[in-house]
Amino acid sequence: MNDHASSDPELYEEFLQLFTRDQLRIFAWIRALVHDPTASSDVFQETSLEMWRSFASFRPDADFLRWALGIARHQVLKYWRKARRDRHAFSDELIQELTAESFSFAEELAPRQAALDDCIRKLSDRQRDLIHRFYGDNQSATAIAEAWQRSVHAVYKSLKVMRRFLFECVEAKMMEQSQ
Amino acid sequence: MTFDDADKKQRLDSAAERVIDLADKIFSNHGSSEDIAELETLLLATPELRKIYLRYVMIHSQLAVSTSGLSGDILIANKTKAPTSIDKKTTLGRLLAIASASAAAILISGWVYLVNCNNSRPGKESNFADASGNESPIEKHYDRRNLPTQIVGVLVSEKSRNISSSTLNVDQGEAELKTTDGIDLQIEGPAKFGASSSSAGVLFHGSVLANLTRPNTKYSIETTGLRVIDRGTEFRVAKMDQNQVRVEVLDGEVEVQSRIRKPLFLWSFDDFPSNSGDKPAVDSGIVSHRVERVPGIVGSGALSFENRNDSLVQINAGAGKEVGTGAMACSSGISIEAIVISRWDGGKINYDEIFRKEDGNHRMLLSFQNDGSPFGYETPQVASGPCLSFGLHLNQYGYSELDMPLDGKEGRPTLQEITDGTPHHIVATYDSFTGRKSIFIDGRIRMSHDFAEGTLVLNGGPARAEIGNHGSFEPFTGIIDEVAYYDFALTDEEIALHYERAMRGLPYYEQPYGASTSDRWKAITIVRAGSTQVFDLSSLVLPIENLDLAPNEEK
Repeated sequence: MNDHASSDPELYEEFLQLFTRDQLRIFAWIRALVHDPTASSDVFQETSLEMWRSFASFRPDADFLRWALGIARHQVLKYWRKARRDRHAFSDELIQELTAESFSFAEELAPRQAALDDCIRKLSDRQRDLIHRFYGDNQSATAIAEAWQRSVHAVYKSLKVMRRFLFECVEAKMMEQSQ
Repeated sequence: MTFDDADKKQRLDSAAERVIDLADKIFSNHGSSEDIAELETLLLATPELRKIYLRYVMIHSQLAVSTSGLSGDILIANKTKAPTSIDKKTTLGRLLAIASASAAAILISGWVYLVNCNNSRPGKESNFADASGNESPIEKHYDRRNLPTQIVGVLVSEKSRNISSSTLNVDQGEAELKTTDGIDLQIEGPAKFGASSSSAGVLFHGSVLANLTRPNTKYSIETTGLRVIDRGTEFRVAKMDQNQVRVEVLDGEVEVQSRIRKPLFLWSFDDFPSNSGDKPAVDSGIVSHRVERVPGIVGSGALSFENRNDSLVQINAGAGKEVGTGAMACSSGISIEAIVISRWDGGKINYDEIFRKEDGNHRMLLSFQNDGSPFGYETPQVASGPCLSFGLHLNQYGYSELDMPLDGKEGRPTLQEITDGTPHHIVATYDSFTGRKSIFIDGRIRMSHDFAEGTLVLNGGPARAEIGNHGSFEPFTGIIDEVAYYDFALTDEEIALHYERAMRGLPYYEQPYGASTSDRWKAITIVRAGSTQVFDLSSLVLPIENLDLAPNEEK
């Protein structure tokens, strides 16, 4: 329960305005560090709650996204510490490095998303269908393989090729913008 | 570059390739503990590799929140009351429900809704294998792909968030949308606005301000039976109530138009070449296989189908590249009309198609079916058995079928009545202004289902329309005549009139007419800069012969 929630609706409106603006970037940032889709949603939820709880301490002249990513970082680290029982987890040291490094992406998140949207338009119909299914509909590779009447391996390969193309396309666009 | 530098770069490139390979394995849930360990060693050793890794995983994560591959409604709202508390234990969905009155929560719920809606879309994951593991024969009736959907604009409030055809709900405040054709739109809440294409929108209620930033762009705003089309201007359209629309021109001028209530396509088959031989016949964009022309129920010709798998009429016109494009793409409403003499037997898994366009999950169809709705498409749920089915994809709801049981109950005809050897007039309509999907038989509504007001149709795409069959699986048995396709919902009165005329052997319209994909609207008046006019919609929903719209100067 937030003491200031019920007592200060203006503060809540201010929070909502900022949160609305940056929520997708925050979620994308978390998803980059927490690969499991369900787990990343949970971390995002915890982050959202924690942001609201701490919003009274947010300075109006500060950068909201950076402040939010600071809170998200704690939640990501918390997730990985819990997941460490899984032998497939990154070490604390690496997660510390990655979260620290990813702060440099804060300003790049919006232009990267715009570049990605442009690059998606260059994909073939088949590749866009793949994005739709895998990322939009959350279909498994097995389900896509059945629908396409291809092997699961072929679907993973197509995903890899498509991601690689988008990566190179986005990097090229970001390079153009920086020149 | 020195030799050492070149060598170092080559090693870095090679390591980067390996990092990306390992990242792909992790995304695919194929990463072993050895892979994780190797990736960790590489990333800890080299800051540059960490940057590459993060940029690459950002592609993966941003694809997951991108709407580019999605279709469906985006729900938005601004500035509403604050919730009194947020419980720590609430789940994300619960949190969103509690905060549903808030802008942020509704934005998130819009996103969650999209994902959940797509996940729960009927039949998506279904296999429908029989006990022996073989694919069910039902599978071949439906192409269940989600085809690419046209992007119509960017929601500015969400920072370059692309949307396909969507209905935007703005509770309070404003939402800003930039179309891909360069039109700036401010939707002023409370409002409901359908962003149906990059050059057109549908106002269900509230107010929208359009500003054209490029000299050669065009934009139109439609509301019930009326359209405002720009002529290089800035203008506002406000739906004041169910019957009144206010048009305010701030700069330049606009043309106010009323809908021409004629079909987009009409196939009367009066001049159609008979073709019962082996070679397909081609006439006016129609290809027919093994279909015989017989005397018309209306006019001189109709088509006879004899339940042959190789009987088919294909329509070459109207297809588009993506869903949402092509001359058959509709948004605010649709009607499919035909006169048939059916000899369908009503048998299990026996489909008789009247009209069908199979664009994956954006298909539309009007057909006799008895399949038990294996994919869960039926909305609302009805008892299984012979039915007349009207299938359509609606934004937010996905593809669904209004399955009208042929059971003789609640005014519906029985199978025996609809297959009694006499002509029957069949019309299927959907109207986004009411959200109502309906089936009419012989001039009377027999079944309907209400979706949310403002729900747009999302159809069109690359498939060719078919009459009398689908592929070679669903051949019609009987005679089909006067098939008409409209991009709006016919009214009860129009349908009753068409039926009454058809039963007298007359065409649907008294005056000679031709279907047209270009003449859809008729100019009523020009509104110029600095003036505001109010239009009465109540007289706009009559057949074109009775149009008597008269704009009144606002006092």
